[in-house]
Amino acid sequence: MDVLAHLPALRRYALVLTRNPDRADDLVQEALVRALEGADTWRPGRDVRAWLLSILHNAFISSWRHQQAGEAAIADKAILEHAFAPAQQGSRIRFGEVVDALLDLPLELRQPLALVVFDGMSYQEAATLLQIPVGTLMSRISRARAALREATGDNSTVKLPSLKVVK
Amino acid sequence: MSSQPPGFDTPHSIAEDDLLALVDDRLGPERRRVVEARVRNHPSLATRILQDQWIRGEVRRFLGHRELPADLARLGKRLQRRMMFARVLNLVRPAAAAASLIAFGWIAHGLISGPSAVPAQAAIAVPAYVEDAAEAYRRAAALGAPAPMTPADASSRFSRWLGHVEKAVPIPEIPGDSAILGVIADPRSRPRALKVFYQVGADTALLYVVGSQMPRSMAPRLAVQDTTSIAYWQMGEHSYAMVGLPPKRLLEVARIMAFAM
Repeated sequence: MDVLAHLPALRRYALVLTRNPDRADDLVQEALVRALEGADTWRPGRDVRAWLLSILHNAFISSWRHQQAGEAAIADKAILEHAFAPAQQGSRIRFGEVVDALLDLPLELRQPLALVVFDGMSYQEAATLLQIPVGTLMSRISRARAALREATGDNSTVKLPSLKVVK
Repeated sequence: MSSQPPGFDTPHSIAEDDLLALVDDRLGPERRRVVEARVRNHPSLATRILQDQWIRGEVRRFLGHRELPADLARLGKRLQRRMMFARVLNLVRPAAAAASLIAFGWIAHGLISGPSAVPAQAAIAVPAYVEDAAEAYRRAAALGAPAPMTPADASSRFSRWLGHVEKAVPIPEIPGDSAILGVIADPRSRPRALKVFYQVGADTALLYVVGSQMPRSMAPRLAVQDTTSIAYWQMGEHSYAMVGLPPKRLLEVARIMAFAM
C-alpha cells in the first residue's frame, strides 16, 4: 500500500486531463484530499492505484472539467515543454510534436490513452472507470493512436528500432 | 481479437483490436505469436506498431520527468497512514458493536474513577484527524486564528460543513474557568473540520471536530505528536480531538465532553 509510488501515475493522468502542470498538481491534491476523506471506505485488497485514479477522475469530472474548460481550452504547450523537457536536447523537437499531438486530442481520446497506454490499466479497468463499453474504449484508443501517428509525421523521420519486436 | 482463415492474409485481415493489444502487450502468448506472424508479413503494420510503441515510450519518459512537490508528498504520506489505520479498523470491525458498548461503559467508569485512570497512549497509529488537529493548533498558535464565528452560527451551520450530518451539533462547553472564544468552520479546509477555540484559564485550547463515515464510539485517548498532547475520541458520526491543555487536564476535559454528548 505505497501511495507515494502511485503519485507519478496520478500526476500523469492529471496532466493529460488538465493540460497544465500547475492545474494537474492542484487536481492531484484535490484527489488526495478526497481520498483522505474517504480513506475509511478503502478496503484491503482493493487496487490502490485504480482507486486513486478513479477518485482523481471523478474529481476532474465533478469540479474541474467545467470550471477549467474555458481557461484550459488551449493547452499551454510552452509551459508544458519547459516543465517536462528532459536534459536530452536532441529529443526536444520530437517531444514537442508528440506532446502537442497528445494534448490536441479531444478529452474523450486522451483519457483512455492515458489510462491504458501510459498508466498500464487493463482495458476492462479503464472502461469501468470511464463508464463506457470496452469496445468503445478500444475504438477511442485506436482513433487516438491514428491521430498521434499522423501528427508525428513521416515514419522515416522516426528512428525506429529494427523490426525484431514483432518477430 | 478475431482469427482469420488461412490464406487470407492482408493488412486488413488483422483485427484492429489485435494490433492495439499487441502494442499494449495484452495478448496471450499463443495469440501474440499468431498476430506477430501476420504482422511480420506486412511491413507497414510492423512500422505502425513500432511507431505506436515509440510514441508511448516518449510520452511516458517525458511525463515521468517531474520532481514530486513536497506538499503532494506530504499529502501522500498522510493518506498512506490513514489507509493503514483504515486497515486496522477493518480488522477489528467484527468487534465494533461490542466495542461501542464497552466504550460507553468505559467513559462512565472514567468519570467515576477520576483522572487517575489515565489510559496508555494508543498502541496503534492515531487517526489522521488527530494529526490534523495538532497541525491546526500549531498553525493557529503561529499565525493567529482567523476571525471566528459565534458558537450559535457555527452550530446551525455545522451539519453543512460535515456534509452527511442531518442535524446541527451543539458546541460543548468546558465547565469551570473557561469560555468559548469562537468557532471556525472554513469551507476551504480539507478535510472539512470545525474548530472551536476555548479560553481555559490562561490556556487556549482547540476542539477539532470532523465527520466520520464509520459511526462508532471510542472513549477518549491520549496521543502525543512531537511535543503536543492531543486527547481524541469518537461519538457516533463525529470524531473529536482536543489540544492545548496539559495532558491530565486534556483527558479530564475530554471525558466530560464525551459524556455530555
